[in-house]
Amino acid sequence: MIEIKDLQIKYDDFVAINDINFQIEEGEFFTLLGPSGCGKTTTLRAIAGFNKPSKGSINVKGKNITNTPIEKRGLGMIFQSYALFPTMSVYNNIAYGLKIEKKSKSDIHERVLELAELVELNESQLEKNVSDLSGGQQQRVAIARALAKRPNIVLFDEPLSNLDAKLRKQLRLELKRIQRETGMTAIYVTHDQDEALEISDKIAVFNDGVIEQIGTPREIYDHSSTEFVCKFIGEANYIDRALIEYINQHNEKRQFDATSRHYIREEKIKLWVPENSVAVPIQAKIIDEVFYGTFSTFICEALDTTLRIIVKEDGNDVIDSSKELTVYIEPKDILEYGGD
Amino acid sequence: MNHPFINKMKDSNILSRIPFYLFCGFTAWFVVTLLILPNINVLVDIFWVDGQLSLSAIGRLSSSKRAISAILNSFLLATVLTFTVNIVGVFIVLVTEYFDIKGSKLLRIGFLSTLVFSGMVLNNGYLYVYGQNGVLTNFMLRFFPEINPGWFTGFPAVLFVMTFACTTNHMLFFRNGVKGLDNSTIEAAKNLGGNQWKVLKDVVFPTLFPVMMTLIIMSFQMGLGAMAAPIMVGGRFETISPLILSFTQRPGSRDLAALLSIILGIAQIILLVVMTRNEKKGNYMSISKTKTRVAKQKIDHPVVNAIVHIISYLLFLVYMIPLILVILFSFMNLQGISQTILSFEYFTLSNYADILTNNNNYGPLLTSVFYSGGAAVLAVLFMIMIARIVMKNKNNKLAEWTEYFFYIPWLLPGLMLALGLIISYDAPSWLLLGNSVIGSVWILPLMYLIMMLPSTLRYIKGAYYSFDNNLEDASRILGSSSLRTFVQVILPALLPTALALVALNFNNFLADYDLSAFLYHPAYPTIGIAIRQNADAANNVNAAAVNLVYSVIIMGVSAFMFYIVYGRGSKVGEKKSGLKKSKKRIKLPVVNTAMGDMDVNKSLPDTEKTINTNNGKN
Repeated sequence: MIEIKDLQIKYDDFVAINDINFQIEEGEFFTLLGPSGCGKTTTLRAIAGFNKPSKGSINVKGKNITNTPIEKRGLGMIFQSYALFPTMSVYNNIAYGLKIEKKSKSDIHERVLELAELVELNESQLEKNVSDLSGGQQQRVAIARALAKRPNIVLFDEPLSNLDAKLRKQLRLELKRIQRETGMTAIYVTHDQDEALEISDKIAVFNDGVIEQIGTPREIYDHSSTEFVCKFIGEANYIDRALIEYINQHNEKRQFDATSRHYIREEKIKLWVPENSVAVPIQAKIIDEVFYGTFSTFICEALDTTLRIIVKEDGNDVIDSSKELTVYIEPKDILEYGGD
Repeated sequence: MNHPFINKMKDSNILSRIPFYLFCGFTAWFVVTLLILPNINVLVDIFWVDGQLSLSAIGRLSSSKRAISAILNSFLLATVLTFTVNIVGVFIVLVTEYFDIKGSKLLRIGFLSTLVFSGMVLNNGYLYVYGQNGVLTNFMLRFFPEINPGWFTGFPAVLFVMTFACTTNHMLFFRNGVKGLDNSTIEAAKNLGGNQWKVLKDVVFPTLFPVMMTLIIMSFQMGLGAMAAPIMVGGRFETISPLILSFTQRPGSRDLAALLSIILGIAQIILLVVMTRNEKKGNYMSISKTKTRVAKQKIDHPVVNAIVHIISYLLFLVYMIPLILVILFSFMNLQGISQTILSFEYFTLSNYADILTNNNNYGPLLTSVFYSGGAAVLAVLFMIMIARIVMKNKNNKLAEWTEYFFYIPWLLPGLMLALGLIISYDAPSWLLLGNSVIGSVWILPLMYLIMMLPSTLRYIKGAYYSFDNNLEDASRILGSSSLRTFVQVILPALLPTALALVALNFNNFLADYDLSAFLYHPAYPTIGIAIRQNADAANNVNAAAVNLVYSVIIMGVSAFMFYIVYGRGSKVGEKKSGLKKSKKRIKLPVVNTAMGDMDVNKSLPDTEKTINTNNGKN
């Protein structure tokens, strides 16, 4: 449905986006993920028409919209700052796009009420000034406003980053629900990896103006194709050379190049394994323990490598933190990047 | 119409840009005709005689004793004024904001009175108290008949009037600076053993040094360009600005007027450069994230404390007596005014009734209201659009230069610009569609508008910076055109700043005298001209009564405007515009001096709204 071809965006001599390519299918929840300044918002704003590409094209349903005026692209957009018009009521904010389309008053009223129901705003809130609403309510208004014209594609520019953690989690699920109910294609920008993993059908991980990897959340997490993606998504332990050589010596399934860099996710290090497992047992010394309620993190040391291990607090794995323990690493769980 | 060419035009939005191109054309005409050509013509008038380069004007000026004396007088006034204004200014701020002085709230009101009691109104008020027929002069004559009734004239009188008129900038900017001090630094200095004087000398003054430097330069520049005060109370003490006016009125001396205005212009540019450099050095405001407000310091030494209290209240009387007497005497009948007696017996409202019913009296008031009001509205509308173009094309050189051109009235004195218009368009010109400025009614409001442009542009730009750009993006992506977005989204958000600027611009030029003296139409004198004419000692007591009422009305209007801008009106506006919510502040300060408007806030910690009193007109 959406195809980005060889897109490049430059600001004077600075290349913000360099030859990126990706495709988004209809109805997909596609997330542009990356750290600050990586170019994800620049890409989104180029799709919206706010940034002019210096090279490449943006196609929607086969039509090149690269030079189409912003207002004629027919996209919806939700901004990080909500960008609600402070001089208008909630109702008029939602109705703004419909008024531009010169819809009849009754049509506008009907659509506004429908959207209010979708985003769970009540009628009394519609009459309020937007500044009288809470952050979460304002974001609901912004969603309703963006959906008012029934756009096929909605762009989300870090829409939840101004909310507190609890509300952010709640609204994430609601966004996903609304996306499913409306069938829209969503392009979502965030730097929050948890958010991206939770709501996306596909993720494009950005770094320094290029895309490092595109894939489903599981692919991105389990098979991070670059060291950057591995380190950026989730938590990963760096495995020192001594430990990797030890693992090479104690398994026959997979041999690693000791000159490469190796990582393992925290939760992939096990405290016990079933019989006949090919996991390599490693003696580790516990240095510290951090209790988080539902789980604990143990910081251990094994053959010059500091390992962080996650242990679920379900009452089964009671660990005496004053003693040494045996941890198990399956070679297949080790991520290997580059060589000398 | 389904022609491919029309469709292509529609797709590329060219048709919708026609108003924009028309506006650009108008802007280009405005800049060339009213900002660039007049100033070039001033130079040509001086240095290009009979088709060749000539320096004769310089020779004539240097041989004119009157001109040389005026130049020296101006520099003398500027130099001495720099000391007096800053000594008084710093003192009144310290006693109201830094030291614990009894009744400081009352003192503050008195010292801030020059916000509304300024310009010609202030000069007239001082003349009414200290002048030949002044209240104080008459009072003194009863006890000391040998005193010269015309004692309040010349350099000392000009210096006195301007000293107290020009401290408003201190009450705005230096006061902001003091309020922005971090009390912890004062406490730390005390803790390290510093006494009150040491703390003031080593901590407070150095911290406020950039602000003080700016104020020193502003004081100097106000003295250099002084116009109203030398005319009203100067007597034989003539300065550059009144001389420019006088030379302009003689066709044979117009080149001398132009040369004098260039001298003022050069001085103004040099001072502006110095001030900008000073501002660029930054400030020493607190870097603490937990800054504490200044706690008022009680003066430890009882004798010093008593002396400071006495001086504070004496200054309060100097500030307030003319103001109070002007208000009170405006309600006295002619007998009361002529005999300078305040009594219920002489109480009357007939002075006000006379102003409001007599066309000769309310005419100048209406003229000034229309001129300054019209110019204020147009200047703000014009600069909103220019600022929009400038902000949308930040990397475009042409837009950048357009912005610079609109700052020309900042760099050059108003008198030079006025003279440039007179020289350039004293005959019908195709650039003005066959019109000339001589004898035209609109030249004065046009000049007001030109003078309002730099500060208006600067603050509208500031408001644009406070504006959330995502609002514009949101509107565009919802299908709104650029024009519609501007009208429905951007303009309402800018409205509080725009209205404030209209009010401030209106206030600044309501009682204008400097430009009026050059450009007013004889059939439509402004209130500044009327006050000046009525203030002549030769005039009857009726004229004095009219001036008193004019003064009170102008003060009332100014006070009302300040209330709208800085009172409840601005808060409602901020909330409506969404700035309140986003914790952004509307940046309102307009510091209008004879040198133009400048952003003293750069040197200030707390960009609290500050106001202009147009002291340069004294």
